[in-house]
Amino acid sequence: MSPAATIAPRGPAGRQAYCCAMSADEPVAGDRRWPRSVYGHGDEPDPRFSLANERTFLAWIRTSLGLLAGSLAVHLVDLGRYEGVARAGAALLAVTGLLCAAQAWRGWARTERALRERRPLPSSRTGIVVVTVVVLIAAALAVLSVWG
Amino acid sequence: MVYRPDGLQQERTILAWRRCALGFVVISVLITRTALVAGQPVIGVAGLATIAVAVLVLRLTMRRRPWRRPSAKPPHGLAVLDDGRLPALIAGVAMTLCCLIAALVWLA
Repeated sequence: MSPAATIAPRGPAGRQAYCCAMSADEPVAGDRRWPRSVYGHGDEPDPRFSLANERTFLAWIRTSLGLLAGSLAVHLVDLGRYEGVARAGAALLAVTGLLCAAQAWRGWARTERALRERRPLPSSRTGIVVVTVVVLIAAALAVLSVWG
Repeated sequence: MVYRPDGLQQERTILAWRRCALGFVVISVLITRTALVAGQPVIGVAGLATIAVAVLVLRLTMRRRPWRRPSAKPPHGLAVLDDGRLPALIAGVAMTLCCLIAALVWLA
């Protein structure tokens, strides 16, 4: 088989080729997958889209873990009399990590449902919140560690 | 009917799971160590529990292999994910870690 032949055709025939025995346009009988708010709607998307959605979920989880590592690092910074700022910054980073983990789940579920229903993908404002928090804490630490 | 592998999509996804699981192990070890050094045994024990979960997730992702050749039979396990239970567990563990670290940096 030539390499080009391993690429499935587009449309329902292509999805059929990827998705085992599932028909692209009919709900699967006896489908009990959880959560029903996702799998109870629409029909099977192209698995490549589901895999991409899964990787986006994992990227948010890794962002959350990165913020947690940052939180522990800020916790160890010695700011002398501004110790309270380091403590508040570390706690704020951990809370932002919590927000990222929640967004990971919410984004995965909303995107998977949109894919199943062939709707435009949802957006979220979590990214701008994370960037703002990180920039503010970095600026505060930079200023206090130089002039503090 | 012939079932065809979808290029490198599955491999990328499986590697993303492994990166994530390794990140979980590292953060769980870090929080356990920091808590025990800071004299917070309760958070330290909770950290040990998250290490156990992280190792479990790592084992789960290590078992998966992408399928590479077209076959006449449906391949077993297209990817790591079967439904929404694993992402819910992972997001829950990440949120627990966030709460533990928030408590740790605030109390210690």
